[in-house]
Amino acid sequence: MASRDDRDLQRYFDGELPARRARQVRERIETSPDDGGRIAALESMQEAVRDAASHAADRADFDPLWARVQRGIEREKPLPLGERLGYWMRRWGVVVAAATAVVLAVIIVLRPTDLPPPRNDVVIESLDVGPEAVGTIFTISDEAGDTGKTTVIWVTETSAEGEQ
Amino acid sequence: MPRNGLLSCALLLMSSQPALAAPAPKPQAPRKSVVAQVDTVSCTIRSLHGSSAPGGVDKRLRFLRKQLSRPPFSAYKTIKLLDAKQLAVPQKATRQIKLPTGKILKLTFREKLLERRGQVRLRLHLSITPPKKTKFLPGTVYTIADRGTLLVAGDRYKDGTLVVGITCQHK
Repeated sequence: MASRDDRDLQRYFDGELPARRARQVRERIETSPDDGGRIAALESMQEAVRDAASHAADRADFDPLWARVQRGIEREKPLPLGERLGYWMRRWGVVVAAATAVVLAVIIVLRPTDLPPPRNDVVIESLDVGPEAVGTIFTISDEAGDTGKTTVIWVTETSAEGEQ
Repeated sequence: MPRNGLLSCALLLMSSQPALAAPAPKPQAPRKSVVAQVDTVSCTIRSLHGSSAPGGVDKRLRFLRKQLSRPPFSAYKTIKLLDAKQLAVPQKATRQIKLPTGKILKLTFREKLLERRGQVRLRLHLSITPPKKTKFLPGTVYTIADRGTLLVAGDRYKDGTLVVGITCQHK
């Protein structure tokens, strides 16, 4: 069973000691050749393990592993539309709702405050009817009521010559 | 030198003074090749026949159904679309068509008017007269909203009345 000093040395090496305790252990290492040797041994062991792992990684062939992963991805069936929609709604639903609310607010704030001019709105600036004729101007309200009126010029010829 | 000769010389000298005193003409900036854009309205002239024969309002006049179902047009049991002719009228130009009554309808596109928010109104001159005569409607000037319709009625035709609808749209 490792002594408390050994455990402290190991924890010091791993950087797990509190600052005060680490300072005490460091002083001990500097003054004790045994402890210094243990630390040196730990460093050598760590370096050997690191080198071995690095070489093993260099020699390893990961291509078959990646190929298997790729095949697995390709075999995966796409999510049904409902699930995909649900996923996107959970992920982006709040953002979309907020953006829609902003757009609607802008439209409501900027909308025209008065109606566009009536479609058949006519201003007769001058009217010249022929001799023996009478001209009358009147308007007929359409389905839009007072905001939409169609203007009619009614010309009545008083002579029989007007008949075709 | 005779007196008339002296007078002529004096007049010639006076007339040449402005030319002598005029500054050298400024170099003109290169003229841009501007293609004049002529405003044009596309108009539809509809000839409607209102009569007392039963039949109702022509389905092709659906857009005027409300107006034609009100007095005085409601007195007609039938309102039929006789024809609809298209006229493209450039600004300041006059185009004409012959109506079923034989009268000539002339339409002049005077100008385009811009109202608030870019809404367009059109100023037009309209006349409906017998050929080479100034009877019936020698001329009226009116402004109308783009795509608006003006109705001109009262011309007797067959057993009823001819109603002319003039609808113009700015191109």
